Amino acid sequence: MICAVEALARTNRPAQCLDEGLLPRVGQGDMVAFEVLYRESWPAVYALALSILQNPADAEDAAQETYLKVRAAAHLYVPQGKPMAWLFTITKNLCRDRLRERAGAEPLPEDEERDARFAYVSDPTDRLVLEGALALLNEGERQVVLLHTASGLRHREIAKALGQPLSTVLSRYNRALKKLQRYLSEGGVCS
Amino acid sequence: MFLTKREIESALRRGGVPPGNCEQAAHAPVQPMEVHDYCTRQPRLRRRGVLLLALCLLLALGAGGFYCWDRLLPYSTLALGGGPAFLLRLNRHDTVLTVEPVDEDARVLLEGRSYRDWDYQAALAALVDDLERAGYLAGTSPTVTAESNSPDRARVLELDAQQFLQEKLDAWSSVIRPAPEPSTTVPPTPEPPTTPPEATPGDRWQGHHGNGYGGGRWRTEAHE
Repeated sequence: MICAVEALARTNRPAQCLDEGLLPRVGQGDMVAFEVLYRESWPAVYALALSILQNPADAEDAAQETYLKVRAAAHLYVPQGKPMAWLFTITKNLCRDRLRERAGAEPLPEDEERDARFAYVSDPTDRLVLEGALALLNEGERQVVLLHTASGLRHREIAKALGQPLSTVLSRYNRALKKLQRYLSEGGVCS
Repeated sequence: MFLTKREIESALRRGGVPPGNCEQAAHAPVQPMEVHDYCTRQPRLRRRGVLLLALCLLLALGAGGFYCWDRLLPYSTLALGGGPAFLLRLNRHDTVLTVEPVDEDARVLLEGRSYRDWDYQAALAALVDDLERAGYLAGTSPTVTAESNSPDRARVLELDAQQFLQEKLDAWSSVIRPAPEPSTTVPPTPEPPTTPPEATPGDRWQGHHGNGYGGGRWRTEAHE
């Protein structure tokens, strides 16, 4: 079981460190470089957007929009050794915009909204865990948990990309998993 | 339902990330930006470190500048004359920075010596001792004048130095001492005294070899 999980983690894991040299090439219109950048960073960008927006469809739109911004501004990028941090900055800003827009919109009824949001997750347990993670955890915890589990980034890489101390990332991660365990053992009811 | 942490992690992994649409992102028309907007602005990662470093540098420069201004820059000058002439350059604390010879005799007397960081009275006393030992003070009295960035300080310094010299000469004139012959030999560099050597009216000068040259000492009459 543990071996299977580790193998899954390896397949999900993006390249150890995003190649900073890709961004100038993307800025010059190199589509091969863009494809590599997209493939390597998409899971992390999407996971971050999901952790902020808590809605898979919105997160997908925000992540796509992030790459359009990257294409438009890659030639202005100044290398600082943290290309993923730049992608995360763009993603966060776009998500904040969406949250502001959403604040003025009429909300759907909760059950209807939940069904629509998580329709793509077929396994009921997986769905319950994901719902719990999005509903129960605070934003900082959601970021760390989704970036580690869904996108496969290591804690150290998350700390670097988010500009947080490693100890903070680790403590948030452990606290979040404990919360989720308690939530699931109590039957998946938010307190 | 109880799930272990690993089971929760794998559930999140499975429910996690849909495949993205790279084609759409790659071929959608975009307008290249001329400057960063609020979305794409890069984080200033080392700003705090650079600020701290600049602050430390500024403090170090300030401290270094103050030290130079306070300790290393000449503030006053004492001119010792009436024979071989010297210029003593002093800092704000009246500590000697340099002693410069004005004439050839003074240059010979100063050869191999340094009075740097001496108190000015100790340096004056040592110089006058040397002049006396070399026989330059027979029949003449040394004179001292002062200049300073502050006229008040110059006046006080000159008075103090003159008084100090006068006391020293008075002490000498009240004792019997042999008249030394002028000498061109350079005595060894004296150690900086903690207090300027002074003679009391009851002291007598005694040469070691009875010839009146170096190596003599003051002897109090009460001891005899």
